[in-house]
This record gives sequence, structure tokens and C-alpha cells, in this order.
Amino acid sequence: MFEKTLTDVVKGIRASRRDTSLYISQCIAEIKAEINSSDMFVKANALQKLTFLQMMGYNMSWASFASIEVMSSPRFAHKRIGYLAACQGFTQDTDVILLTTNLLKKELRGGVYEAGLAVNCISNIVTEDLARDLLPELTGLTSHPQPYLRKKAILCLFKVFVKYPQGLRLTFARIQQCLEDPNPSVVSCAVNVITELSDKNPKNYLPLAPQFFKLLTTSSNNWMLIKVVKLLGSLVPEEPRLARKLLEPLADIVRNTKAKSLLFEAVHTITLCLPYCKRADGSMPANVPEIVTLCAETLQAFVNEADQNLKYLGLVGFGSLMQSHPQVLTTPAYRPIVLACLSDQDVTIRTRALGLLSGMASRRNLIELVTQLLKHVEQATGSYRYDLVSKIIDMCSSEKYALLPDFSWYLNVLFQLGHIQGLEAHAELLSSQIADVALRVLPVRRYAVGRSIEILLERNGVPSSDPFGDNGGTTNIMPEILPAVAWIVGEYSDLIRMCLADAEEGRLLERYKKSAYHSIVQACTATSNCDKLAASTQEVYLQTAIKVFAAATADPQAPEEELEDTYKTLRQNLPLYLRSTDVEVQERAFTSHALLVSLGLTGGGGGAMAALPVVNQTSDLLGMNSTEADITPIQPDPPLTGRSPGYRNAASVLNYTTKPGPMKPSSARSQKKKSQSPIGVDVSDIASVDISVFSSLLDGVSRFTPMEVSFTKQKETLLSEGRPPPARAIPGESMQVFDNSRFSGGADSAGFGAVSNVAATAGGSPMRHNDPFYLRTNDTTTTETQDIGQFGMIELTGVDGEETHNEKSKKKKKKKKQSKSDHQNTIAVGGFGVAVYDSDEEGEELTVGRQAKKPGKEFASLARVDLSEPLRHDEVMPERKHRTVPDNPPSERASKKEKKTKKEKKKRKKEKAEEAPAASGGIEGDLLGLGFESPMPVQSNPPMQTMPQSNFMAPAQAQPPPVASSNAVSDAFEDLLGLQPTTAPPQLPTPASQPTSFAPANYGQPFPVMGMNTAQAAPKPSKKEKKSKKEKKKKKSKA
Amino acid sequence: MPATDITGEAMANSAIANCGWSFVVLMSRQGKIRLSEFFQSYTESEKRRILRDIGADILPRAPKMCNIVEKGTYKFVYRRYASLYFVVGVPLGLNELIVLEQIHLFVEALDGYFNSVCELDLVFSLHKSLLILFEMFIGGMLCESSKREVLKSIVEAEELVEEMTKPGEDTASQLDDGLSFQEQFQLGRTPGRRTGPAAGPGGRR
Repeated sequence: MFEKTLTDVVKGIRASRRDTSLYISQCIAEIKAEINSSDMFVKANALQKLTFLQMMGYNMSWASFASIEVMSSPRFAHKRIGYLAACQGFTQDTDVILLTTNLLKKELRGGVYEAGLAVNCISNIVTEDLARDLLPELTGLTSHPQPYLRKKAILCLFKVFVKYPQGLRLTFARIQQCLEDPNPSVVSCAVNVITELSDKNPKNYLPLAPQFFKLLTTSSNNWMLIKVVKLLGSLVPEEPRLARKLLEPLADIVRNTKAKSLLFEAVHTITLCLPYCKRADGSMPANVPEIVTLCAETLQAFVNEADQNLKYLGLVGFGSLMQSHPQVLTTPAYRPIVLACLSDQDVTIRTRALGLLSGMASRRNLIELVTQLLKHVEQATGSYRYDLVSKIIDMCSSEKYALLPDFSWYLNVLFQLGHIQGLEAHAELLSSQIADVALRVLPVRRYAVGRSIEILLERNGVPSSDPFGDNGGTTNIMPEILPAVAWIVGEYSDLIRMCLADAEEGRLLERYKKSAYHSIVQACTATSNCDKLAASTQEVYLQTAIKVFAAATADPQAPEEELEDTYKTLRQNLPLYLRSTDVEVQERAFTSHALLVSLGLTGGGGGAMAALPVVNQTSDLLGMNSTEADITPIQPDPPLTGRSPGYRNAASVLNYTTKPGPMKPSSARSQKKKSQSPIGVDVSDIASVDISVFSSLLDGVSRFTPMEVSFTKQKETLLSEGRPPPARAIPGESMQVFDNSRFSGGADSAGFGAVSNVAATAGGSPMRHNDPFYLRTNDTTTTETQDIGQFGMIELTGVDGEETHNEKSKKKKKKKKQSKSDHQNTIAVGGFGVAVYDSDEEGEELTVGRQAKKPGKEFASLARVDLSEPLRHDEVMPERKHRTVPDNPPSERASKKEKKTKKEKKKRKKEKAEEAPAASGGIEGDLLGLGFESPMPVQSNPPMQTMPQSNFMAPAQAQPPPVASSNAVSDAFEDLLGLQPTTAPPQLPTPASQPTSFAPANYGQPFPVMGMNTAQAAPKPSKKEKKSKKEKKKKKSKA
Repeated sequence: MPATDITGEAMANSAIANCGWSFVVLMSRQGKIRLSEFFQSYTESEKRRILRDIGADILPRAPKMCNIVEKGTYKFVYRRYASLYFVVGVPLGLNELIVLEQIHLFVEALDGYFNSVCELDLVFSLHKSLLILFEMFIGGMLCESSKREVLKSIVEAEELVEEMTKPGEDTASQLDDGLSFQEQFQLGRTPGRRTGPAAGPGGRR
């Protein structure tokens, strides 16, 4: 039977393009059979094939043990296959790694190439245990006569340190010595390792600075120089004095070297040094400007290169140069270069160039720069586009708009961006910027209102005539911005008249000069909004509508007809919103509607007055018949005829209740204060409600009582007309508010106060909920309240299920924390603030921990190693004990072996059963188990005589099994795997008889480990010959 | 014990660790993996994600684009040789140019070994290319910057294999069959030796 070679498999895979996976699964099935073969050649071949398949994405973890078997083969060819398989197939969780310890130890002391293989392998598979156990050997290798091994061992040590940081302290002196090594590649490797180490914790390597400085000025090996430069750069933050010293040599490198990589590294390191160059007295060294210019020129040359990589690196270099010298790029000479990179086809370069822009912007060139960027925005795609937009906004708004010369221009930019499709992710940013500018920059407020009105009208199906031409025709502004726009119009509706006056010829606004208020209200309450707009937008729209109406009533220039029309529109459209499924929309519509009604603007005094007597009766009736009251909201359609003279009279009330006073641009601190006030803006001091405002109202409708003002009156008319209620059930909540006000209001004035309060609260709350300006603070407050709510809930359940929680926590670790926080909540019944704080802190800790773990990962502990302290007495090489006291195996080791034994026992239960009688009849079962598996006991005295080295890894055995001594020759390397040495000359197992067994006969190669003294192997060639003959025979028979 | 107050700072540093190569993947234009080696311990899913990212981010790039793709905490640095992409994952702090040179060094070593290497060479002798890789890089760090040295040690190791081979077995499969005579000569070997039978019967002496 012939096994497929790797070449066959590769050819097969290439041949069977159709069903590759089928072919591969066949191969894997074959491999599974072959890998258990007793013939090491077959086994190694199978493993080689499997390694290939592993690279194609197939699992090979099941062959870990076979890898170790092949690794322990005496043949170098097999070893290589085994080690490669281990490198590729082993992970940190592979349990059989434990078994490799002794094998690797032995290899490390063996021949040069075997040791090389082992070092390679260790660097790939090292675990903490392995690192601790192999540290002495690897350290020993760093003084091996062969530089080949020295350099490998040094590099491997870094991997070992990562897993076993304590080792760094133990062996650092040795690494330091390697810097003096005669072989340049060894020095290079040592530099390499120290550079890596210093990256984790530079402090430790400061004492080496002079040595490296010498290397920097004398060495000519570019590979190494780069590392040296990097290392010195990483030391600079620890020792600022070094920075000044480095500048000149680095500049020399920049001037002289031809290697671009070194050139870049030197420039990069200079840029790192520059921030630290300042002397103690604050003066800069004289050569700094010259060096900065040198760097800038070099980087400019990089950017101008045709090679994209250099271009990229040039941009990166500029980025780090700007950290210390931000003004470098403001020189106009650089702008075209960087802008050219923005239109590069490569996104990596574009992103980098974008990063530089903020450094290039100045008050003088900002507009020009942004105008150019806006062109890019239209062409850009994907995430780059987002970056571009956020960069524009960032540049303009940075440091309180410090660079911005013209705010109306900026508003136009924002609106223009808002019209570009595909930027939805930035809608929130844009809308908050728009609102922020309108609120904080008084001079442009009027302009902002004008533009906002245009956008509102434009949304209402009216084509726009925007000068930028971006929002005419088909494209509309993105809907997420509309709340901000509407808010501006509502909040500053008293500016509308002035905007109209401003309106230029040909602009949209000009056409609406006659009936601007009406058009706005129409746009805001259009029936189509219900379907088109999000509920959150509708909320703001409603509020805007009522605010605009208030402004209209206050505007002496507004004709009565327009007021009438506006009022009609409101009365017609608001009831529609009462039916909204969104509670907030509904409540606002209801509040606005009720406010209008309560003002007696229902179309002349007559209608409302006439209904009064009935109201008084029904209010009683309602009190009794509350269910009916709940499901019947206000009358939607009171008589609209008749011009009310009250429009003007209502102006003060409307404006007072809907608009919380003119807001001034206020500092962030006072804004914060404002947001902290519990209810809203104006309502915070209810005591100071200005009753005089209502005087006209009170005078005009002197017969009104608070009861009458309340909506119950409407209900009455509704009942009387027998109309079905337009909206049911849901308004219950909002009605409750009014009920409360009704019941609380005893006196006339107090009643109105209550009503106005409610309205004002409603007026204030939309601002807090939907106002783009308040978005941020609002967010935090809502989350806070939510949190409080949640904690309250948890608290309740906590009280209920506290005990059960605590019981469960023993079982479930996960729940532990939860129950803990529950606990806190239950304790802090009165002041949940404390509990919230506690759990917040806990959360913070958690996130901090997570963050710290993520980037640091495995290097964290390495970074903690401090080399400055001298070694303590208890800090010794982990294995030293074994060397000095080879006769006493430390218990730790023994226990490990025990573990191994157990694992192996499981695995090899079957074989044991088979082999136990065959191997040696003399041993009792239990002992055999140990002797069979564990590496130590197998190694008996005779091999120790022939190979003195093996003392190291084989501490004297507790119970030397008799078998081993009987066969001195064959067990020389059995300790690697704890394979049972055979007493009898190997019997060739036929595949049929022992298809799955491990066939110890084949391990009984009469060779000691590779790389041992050849003298040791001398007596055995004859056997080898025999063996190989047998192999041949076997092959023939197989064939 | 080491001072704990430096931990935070050290953490910040380790985020920009510049610890050699994290992984190297050789991928063909069609997205087939020809060789992959992960120098740091990644989970299977991480490996799959990386391979997917390579296929998605690098293969479609135009030849004139730059050879660096930033990818969060690490970046890909790649080089294209004919239809084969040599993709290396490195931490952000590492000098890209040096990585490119290292890739080229590796390719030169492969070229020297296989005597003008082509993709098929790598397909059929994965093990040898891996061995060369390990000869040059340990734990992702460059170990030997001289191509000559690398080839010398590889060939010496191969000779060790040769001596260990069973008599009569096809030695060609284990030999450096790709090495040209000229290369062998350069490396101090007697050209043509590999054509004859391997060392006589018997093992090492």
C-alpha cells in the first residue's frame, strides 16, 4: 500500500477543482488512518499532509499528539516535519504542549540545527510553563559558540519574556552582554529584542542609552540602525535631555543616508524628540529651526515622490511633526501638495491627508480650504466621506469657532451638507451645529431664521431658489435636521418679520412675504406630515406652529386675514395630531389646542359664551361620569366663523406661555445650570408668574372660571353634538394633567396660573426633549432618569428576591454582581443617588479593566517588570534547583508529571491494555502505568552513564522500573515521551494486527537523541542497518 | 515587586507596540492562501477574520496604490509579486518601509532557494518555504538579514536530512531540488550531488 505524498495531495486538490472539499475529506480520512501507523515514515508523511491542509483551514488539533511523536523521532527529516506541524497546529490551549518540555530541553542542548528547530518552535508555541522551564536552556544558548543559535535564542527569549516576565529580570544581564557580541547579526538581534522590550517599559533601558548612542554614531548596518534609532526615540520621553543630544546625530543620518527606511525612521524620531527639546529655562536649542526645516523638506520630498508608500509616509511624518510644530503646514507652499493627496485614488493616503488639514487651517484660509473640501465631499464615497464631513465641521467649530470668519457662510455650508444625500450619519452633528450657531451667534440669527423658514417651506413641496442650487428641485434636506430648523423658526419667530423685510428679490421668502406666518404654520401642521415625518420631528413642528402663531399675533404688521387663516389652519390641523399614535405628539397637539381654545379664540365671543351654562352643569356630570370623560377629548371643530378681536389680545398670553423669554447666548456653564433646573426654563419659579399678562384675557372673559376654562366645557359641547370622539383612550395621560390643574385651581388667577404652567411645561419640555441645542444635556438627563427608573425597578425586585439572589449567587458567578448592586439599591431606599453612584463606579471600573486588558493583553505584565532593582536572593533561574540537586525532583515537577500521566492514561488506555503484558511481564500494573507514561522513571541509570547531560532533565527516579535497566540502549530518548522501551528486539507489527496502537517497537530506535556525542551513537550502526533492512523488507511486503 | 504605578503608562505604550510581524499571509490573486503563519496567538475566528480582511481589502487594490492599509490596531503591509500577494500584519508603530524590505528579503531568499521562485514552488513545497521563513524570522522579528546566511543554514540542514534518509528512498522529495547548480556552487556544495544516491547505508557518523 502506498501512501499519498504531499505532492500527490496538492496535485489531487488541483485536479479535483469541482469537489475539492470531498477530495480533502478523503485525504483527511486517509491521514487519520496513516497517522496512527507504526511506521514513522508513514506517520511523518501523514503529518506533513495534514500541516498543508491545516493551512487551507482544516483543523489539525486532533493530531497534536502525533506531532509530538514525530518531533521526537531521531531522524532530522521527521523532526522537521514534526516541529513544523507543532508550530502550525499548536495553540496556547493545546494540552499536550506539557509533554514537549523535556523534548525541547534535550533538543536545545543537541545539535545546532536541531536546536534551531526547537527554538523556532518554542517561539511559536511557548506557554507560561514552557517559558519558565526552558529559560535556562535558552539563556545558555545565547552564549553558544555558534552565532546561528545565539541570535535565534536571543529573539526567542523575547517571546519567553512575554509569557514569563520574571525571566526578564533573571536574564537581562545576558542580553546586555550580547550587545558586545563579535557577530553583527547577534548584536542586531539583541538590539531588536531590547527595542521591543523598551517599547513596553522604556524606563528600564535608560542605562543602556550611552551604549546605543555609540552604536548610533558608529554602526553602518541599516537594519540595526533603524532599531537603534527607534529605541532611542522610545527612551526620549523618559529622559528629555536625551532629545537634544539626539537631534544632531539624527540630522546627520537624515542628511547622509540613502536608505529611505532609515531616513524616515530618523525623521520620525526627530519629530518625537522635538517636543522634549526645550531646555529647563524654556529656551530651545539653536539648531531646532534648522532641523525642523530639514524634516519638513525631507517629508515634502517624500510626499512628492511617485511612490505611493513614500507619499503615505510623508503624510504620516507631517502628522507627527505637527504635534510639536503646528505651524509647519500653514505655509502656503504645502497646501497644494496636501490637497492633491486628498484627491488621490488611494483611501489610505486620503485619510492621512485629511488628518493634516486641521493643522493647515487658519483664519485666513479656512473658507478657501473648506470650499475645496466641499467639492471633495460630493465625489467621495464610503466612510471617507463621513470623515471628510466631520473634518470640515471639526475645523470650523474647533475652539469655539476660533477660525471661522463668517458665520452666515458657515450656516450655508451646514445647510449645503444637509442637502447631500448619504450623509445621514452626520445629521445629528449638523443639526446641533445649526442650532448652536443660531443660538449663540446673535448677528446671524436673523439669517438663520430666514434660511430655516425657506427650508421648512421647501419641505412643504415648494420648490426652493437656494443660491447654492443644491436644494432646488429634487433633493430635500435630510429629515433629521428638520427639528433643528423648526426649532430655530419657532424659538425666534419674533424675527420672522425682520426676515421678511430682509428677503431679497427672487428668493423663496420673497414670494411668501404676504403670508409668511400662515405658510409656516401650514408647513408645520400639514396633514401630510403625519405620514412623512418622524414623531420627534412632528413634536417640534407642533411647537413651532403655535410659537409662530404667537409671534403673528404679536406682529402689528400681520394683517388680520392672515391671523384668521393661520388660526383656522391650526384649528383644522391640530385635531389630526390628536390621533397620533405617538404620545408626545398627541400631548403637544392637545396642549396647543387646549391653549387656543381656552383663550377663547374660538371664533368670536358669542359661540363660546353661549355654551357656558351647559358647561357648568356638565362639569358636575363629568365628575361623576369619569369614564366618559376619559374617552372623550376635546371638541375638534368649534365654530370657526367670525373674526375674533381677541387675536391681538391673546398675543401676550400666547407669547408668554409658549416662548420662554428670549434666550441669550450664554456660556456653557450657565447653560449647564439651566439644564439642571428641574422643570424648564421659565417655569422654574412659579411664584413669579406674571399674572398681569393675563389681565386682558381675564377682563375680556370675566365670566370664565377656571372650571370653565378647562376642557370639560369642550367635552360638553361634544357630547351635546353627539360626535364620536376622534381619539380615544390614549390622551388619558394628558387629560390627567388638565384634571389636576382643574382640581388644584381654586381661585381664578391660580387656575390660570396652573393652566399656563402646564402649557409652559409642555413648552419647556419639548425643548428639553427635542431641541437640538439641548440634545447633549438632555440626553444625559434622560438617561439619568431612566437609570433612576431602572434602579428603582431593580430595587423592587431586589427586595422581593434578595434572598434567592444571594443563594443563587453561589452557584452563578455572573449573577453575583447583579445581586450586589441590588443589595446596594435596597440599602439605599431613601437615597438611590448613592446606589446609582456606586454602581456607576463599578461600571467604570469594569470598562477601565476591559480597556486596559485589550491593548495591553500579554505585554502588560512584561511592562511591569522593573530592571532597575537588583535581583533578590529568591529570584533565581527557575530550573536551577534541578541542576544543583538532581537527586531530588521538586514536588512541583512531580505533580506536573502526574498530571501528564493522567492525561496520557486516558488517551492510551487501550494501548496500555495491549502492551502491558507484552512490554514486560515483570512489572505490576500500577507501577507500569507510571513507568509507562512518565518520562522520568523510564530514564534509568545506564543511559545516565552514557549521557551525562541527561541528568539535567531527569531528576533521579523515585521508582526505577526494572524494564528500563534491562534495555540500556533503546531508552535513550524515551524520556521525551515516556514511551515504553522494549526489551525484545522490535517485532514488526503488521498493519492488520495493530492498526491503531503506537507500536513502541518503532520508537525503539537504537539511537540517542540527535546531536549528542557521536561517540555515544557509535556502537549502534550495525543495529541501525538491521533496522533499516527490516524497514525495507516491510515496505516490500507491504507493497 | 515591580512598581505598579508605571502600569498605566506602560499600557499606553503597549497599545502602540512595535513587536515585529504579527502574521504573514501569502495569498494568490484568486484569494487562495499559499502560506500563512501567525506569530502571535490568535483565535481561530480572529485568523479567519484577518484572512477575510486581506481578501476584501488588499486584493482589489490597484497596483499603483500604496502598500499600506491601516486596519484599526494594526496595519497590513503588502507587496505583490506576479500574482502572489505577500501580506504582513504589523502593529501601527512599525516602520512600513522596513517591513517592505523584509518582505523583499524573504522573497529573495525564496528566490535563491527555489531558483527563480514561482507560485507553484510555494504550493508544492509549503514546508520549505515555512522553514525559510522560520530561518529568517523568529517570533516575527528579523533574525538574519543576509540572504546568503539563510540559504547556507537551510542547505546545511537539508544535508542533515540527506544523510538521515533511508537508503534507496527517493531522496529528491526531501532535497532542495529547486536549487540550481550555480546556487549550490555558491553555497559551497558540490553540484550534482543530489542526483546520486544519498549517503551510504547507515545513519549519522
